[in-house]
Amino acid sequence: MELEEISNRLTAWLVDDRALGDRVTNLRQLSGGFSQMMYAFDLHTTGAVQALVLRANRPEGQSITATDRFAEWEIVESLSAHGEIPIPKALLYDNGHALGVPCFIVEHVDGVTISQHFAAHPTQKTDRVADTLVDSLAAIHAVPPADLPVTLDRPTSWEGHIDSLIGKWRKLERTGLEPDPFVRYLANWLEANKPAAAPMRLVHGEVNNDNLLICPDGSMTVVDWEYAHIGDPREDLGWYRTVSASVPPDVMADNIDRVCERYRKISGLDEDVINPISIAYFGLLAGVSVYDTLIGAPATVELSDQAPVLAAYMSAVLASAQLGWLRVIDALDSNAATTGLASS
Amino acid sequence: MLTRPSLSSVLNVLSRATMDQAQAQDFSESSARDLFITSQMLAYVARRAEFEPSLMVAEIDIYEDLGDQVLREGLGDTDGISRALADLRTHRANEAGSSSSATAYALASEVLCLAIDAAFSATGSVHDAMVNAMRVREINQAAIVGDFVIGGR
Repeated sequence: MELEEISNRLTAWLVDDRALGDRVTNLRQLSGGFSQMMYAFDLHTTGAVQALVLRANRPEGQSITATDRFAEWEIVESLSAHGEIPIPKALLYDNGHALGVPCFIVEHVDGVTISQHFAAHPTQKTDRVADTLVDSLAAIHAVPPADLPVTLDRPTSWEGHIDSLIGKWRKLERTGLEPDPFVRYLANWLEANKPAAAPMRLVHGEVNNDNLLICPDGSMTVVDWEYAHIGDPREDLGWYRTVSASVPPDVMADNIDRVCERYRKISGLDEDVINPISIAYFGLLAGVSVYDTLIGAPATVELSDQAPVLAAYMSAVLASAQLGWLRVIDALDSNAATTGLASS
Repeated sequence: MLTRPSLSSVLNVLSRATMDQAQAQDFSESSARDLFITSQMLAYVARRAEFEPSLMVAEIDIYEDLGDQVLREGLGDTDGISRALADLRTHRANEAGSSSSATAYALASEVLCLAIDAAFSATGSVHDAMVNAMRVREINQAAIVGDFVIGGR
């Protein structure tokens, strides 16, 4: 869909149908929208301009992921109402009438991603950003599951949740165009090395440097909630580290003991639960949601030469990610052999 | 290694993506991202084309030997491994052409998958052989991945 058409449809929705403003201007696509389409725009009302962001499904045939926009909206809306969570304020949802695809609108956050921040300040120390990240994640993980949308799945036990994630790795591996021994090896390793249990909490599900915005006042806002679920809070800590190994910086890397200590202090969880090894374990386990995205890419490419170039790219991302998983396993096995620190 | 999507499929997509950018009326951030991705993928595809055929053949032999070893030890899903080995050998007996090699590699990879399940918690030579097979696969995949970096957002 061209920018002009999107702008016209937004105008019809927000100005004509909802009477929320006088006109829509300055529509531009935001980078970083691998999974969904993201656009920033201004909504003019009498004497004021509101900076907003549109988040929408990609049109059919161009989508890399198949996450539920309404489920994401419900979480964003509920956290937005909560008031203490670092998230853009939720404004409006549409199921496809306005743009032809499900979408929602949130307030624009004046900030830069961690990636952009450290690209502009490459020599700056990472400790303060690491502290802010820990504070943000701890706040998200402190939301009582009872405050979240009732439609969100509630795992009945920690053990069952972990087993279901490992089972998901195994099940997804069977859906690929070819058998994947890396994933089979990973699943066996995860089964053999479970850490101590933690309380089940809201998990963002895709914490990475491009989904974390640093605001001018130094605070942090967390965006892109399509993979949010109730699970083990270490999924977010671990997944951040895994992704940041490929897309630096890893602001936790130089501060990992400080990160663990700070998180333990805020959350009240013990050292046997929050430590660098258990976080690394969850870096591997939590990767299943992204594996879910990557595993279908080869078929998408083979089915149509009109497939998005991103789909072809995902096959190489998967090959690169597999090597990363093995590196983490090697490091954890070496650590266990050296220190005698094993999982429960 | 990942042998799918096929090289021809990837090249078709990359070719069209490059052409789309060449004909684009405007050049946006997403255009720049797609060109970045396309350039990375062209180098990746070139490495696949150069290395994959010979590496696949070497790995298939290793996985087949491992499957036999697991069977001799009587570990894991022996019926499944027997069937997977039989499928591989039947295919190799009738093999002809590069697409058949990709199929043989997939069949051999299934043998390796079953061997991993069987030998992961075992001790001794069969476990070591499984770990060695994985190490060979890792080294070969690293050669294909080369200097590919995840990025372009």
